[in-house]
Amino acid sequence: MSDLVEQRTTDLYPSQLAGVWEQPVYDEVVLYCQDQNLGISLNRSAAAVWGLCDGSRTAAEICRQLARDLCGSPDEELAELLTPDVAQTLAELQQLGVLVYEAAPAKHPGGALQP
Amino acid sequence: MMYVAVGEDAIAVEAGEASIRAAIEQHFRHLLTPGSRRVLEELIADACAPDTVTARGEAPGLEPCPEAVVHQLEGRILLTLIRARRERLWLHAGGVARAGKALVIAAPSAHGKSTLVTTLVEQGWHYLSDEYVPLEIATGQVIPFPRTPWKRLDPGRELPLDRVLELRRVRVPVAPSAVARVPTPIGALLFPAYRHGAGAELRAHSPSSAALKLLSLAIHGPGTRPELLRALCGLLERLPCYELTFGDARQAADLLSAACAGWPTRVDEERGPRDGS
Repeated sequence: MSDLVEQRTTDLYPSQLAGVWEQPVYDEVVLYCQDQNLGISLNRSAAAVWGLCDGSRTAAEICRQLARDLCGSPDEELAELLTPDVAQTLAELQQLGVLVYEAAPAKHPGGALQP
Repeated sequence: MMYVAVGEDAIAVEAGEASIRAAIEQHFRHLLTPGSRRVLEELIADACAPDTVTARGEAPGLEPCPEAVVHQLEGRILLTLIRARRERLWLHAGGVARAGKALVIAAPSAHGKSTLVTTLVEQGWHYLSDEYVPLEIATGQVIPFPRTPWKRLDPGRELPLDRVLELRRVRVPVAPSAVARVPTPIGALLFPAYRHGAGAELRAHSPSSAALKLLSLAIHGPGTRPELLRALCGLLERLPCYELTFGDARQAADLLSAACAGWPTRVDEERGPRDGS
């Protein structure tokens, strides 16, 4: 499933759905989608992925950014290792209806709402 | 006239029938106050279904049925208190206190909340509530709601939830000296889960998941859902959260007493709960 998603979405730009409330708590994040009355808890790793879904990066670029954040410098090998987990997180967020894929990078990267 | 009081707020209750009066006195023993405080509403508890409890001025109902009357009365009292103090978060939770701090035990029905609360009280904790916890979110103060607790009789085997809910319950008397009477700052949050035959296991709980669980257990909370969520996250930023699986309440209570011995901070929680064994 994650391979299939990765193939479909390689050239697309994951973006947080507009209108999703976001609240950090400690090193995690709570999302709340009022339309669906749906709450989602993101652990530290998922929160890091979510935070980079501003429509300006592809999944691969998200992996590279995460690797940079973890190591302090670019690390292609680490980015490669992160790919399956990132793909799974993106797939789950999309399935939950809080993430969309855009064909082109966002001109003005947005973010979720805070209450 | 009887007065059921929570803090400064009271509901005046008139019950003419002796058996109903006795049932109310037994259930609200630790909440009854001799005089009136700020009386929010006057209720008449005189009859059984369909309208067991009426506000003064409404038409009375049928023959008395004490248990049903108390159940309905409690619902009306809660509603009145919630309306009077809309800024409070009302949780479906139990609470116990020790050394000036409260352990809030949050769970739906039939998850071992009352069993755990009553066992902790036997071990020397003070009793706050077994079913409803009013919480001042801004200050983190737990307001006592010490109705006489009930607990389900252990069937001695694993049962599906709907069968557990049907189990007979018994009142558990609590001595007046064991009741917490003043608002108590919250020290930790616990999500219990009873599993027949399981050993007691205490683990740190994800704060983001805890926020959503609290939201689902909220009977009433101030503001909109996102605002309440924000307030809960603020509370959880500084509060250790645990999940507890247990099959034996005494073993679980021992573990909790050890874990809360020094009232751990959020940093301690990262290192993991203290081993009570």
